[in-house]
Amino acid sequence: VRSAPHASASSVQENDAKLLHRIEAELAFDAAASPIIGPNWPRRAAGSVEIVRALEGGEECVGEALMGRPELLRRALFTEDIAHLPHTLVHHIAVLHAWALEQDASSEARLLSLRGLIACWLVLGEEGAYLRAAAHAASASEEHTERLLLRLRHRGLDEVESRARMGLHACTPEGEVAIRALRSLPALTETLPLSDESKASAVMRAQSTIDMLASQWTGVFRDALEEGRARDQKRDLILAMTHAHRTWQWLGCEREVERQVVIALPTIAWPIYRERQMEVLGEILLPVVPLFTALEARILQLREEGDVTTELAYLGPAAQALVFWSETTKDVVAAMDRAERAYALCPTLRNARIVLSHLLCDRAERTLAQGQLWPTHPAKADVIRAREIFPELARLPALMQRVGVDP
Amino acid sequence: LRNPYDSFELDPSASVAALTAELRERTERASTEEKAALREAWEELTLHAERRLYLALTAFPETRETLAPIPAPPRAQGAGEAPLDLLDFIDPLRLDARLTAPSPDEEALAQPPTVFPARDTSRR
Repeated sequence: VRSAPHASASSVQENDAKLLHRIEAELAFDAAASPIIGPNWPRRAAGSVEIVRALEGGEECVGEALMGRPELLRRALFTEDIAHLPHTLVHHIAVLHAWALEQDASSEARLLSLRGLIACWLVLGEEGAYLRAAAHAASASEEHTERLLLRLRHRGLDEVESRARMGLHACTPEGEVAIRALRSLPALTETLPLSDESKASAVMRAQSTIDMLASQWTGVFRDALEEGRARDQKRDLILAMTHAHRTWQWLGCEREVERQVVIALPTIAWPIYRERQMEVLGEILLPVVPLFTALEARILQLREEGDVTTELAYLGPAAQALVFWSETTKDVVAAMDRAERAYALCPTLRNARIVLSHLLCDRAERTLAQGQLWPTHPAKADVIRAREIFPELARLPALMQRVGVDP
Repeated sequence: LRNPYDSFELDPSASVAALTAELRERTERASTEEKAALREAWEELTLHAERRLYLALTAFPETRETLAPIPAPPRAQGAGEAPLDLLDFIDPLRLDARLTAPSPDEEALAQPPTVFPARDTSRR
């Protein structure tokens, strides 16, 4: 046999072994990743399996996948625990998450992918050297590389922000998942190998996105209320409040929505109140009750922690919302409870004081109507408290006389 | 639109010239529809350097072990040399491994054909 251009025996064996590994990697990758990213992945993607295989426990992951049990490998390929992984694998995982987002998946799966996308690109961008080397291999200029590195670092955040923006108007489930991903940034960045500055910057970027969305919603909300008032359409006002509630939930119970609602409430509520259309007012208030009660709870929590300034500007409006809420119920116990809460929240609010005093007087009168007056009669206590809260109440002198309280 | 590096299994580290050559070669064998997609991919990958780099870095990276290149087929023999027969192309490993002797059919195949078909050059 004459010499033909054959490879040496060892290199052929080595090549065969590599080929076998490749085939196994592709089979394992197909089993683990195809259900999540679809079947049309490039063969290069299976390189991720070769990297996993070289990690501790990786051989077992791949072996299990080849035996038809791909869960371990799937977990390795879509892991959130990327802090100690080689950058090549983090790069693969970043692209896998982007592919997964193009498929129909559950909210939880999409949330995992968005978080993964954010995390992987933040880590790769922070490290820099790996992406620079990849850019260099792709014959990129230094100028393009540096500019792109900045862009890639926020690739995940950009994607999430874009999804959130698109979902704002209709409060889409897709956008809601994006908001959840943004809200999870503080906890997520804590698990990543990032500098404190990078963590803070990512968290700030996420909060700015939420603030920006809340601000965009505020404009739409105000316009809707204005239009509802101009047309005197109560139905429009109820719809605007219902949408406010939906947006509040969609934005992850965003406090800015609560603040905007309590600020807007008096303007739309007073004309209806003056017309004594309490049922309509009740309908308008109903969707936003969770918002102003959440604001109330937060203010009380802050107060307990010694912080009396953070929500100072919203004390009065939040208490006023509780007063309106108290006025719209026919249940005397509920009305008293809501008025008490309004007074506790903002004792200087005149309306809270007047309404609570009236309710105390009402209760005293009901008690008096029930039976004889004892020295420690609860009616007496109610009248005394009503006087303390709002002494100028016109009905007080007569009541005080009835229960035997000195003027 | 999916990343062309992934859609067409292109090497993310390939230069613009290499990408152009690769896509041109594929275009020669492609249907009309495929040609349009290949052209679109070529435009996306070559018109803006930064765009190409972005796509290269956001595609699956090539991290597989490099395989040794497949040996090139032997060149045509020079004048005066005997033509190669099939045994010249059988890996020496196979011979060394003491595989079973070739069957009569394999032997027959190993013989050069008595008449070479004329090369069709009309397409060029």
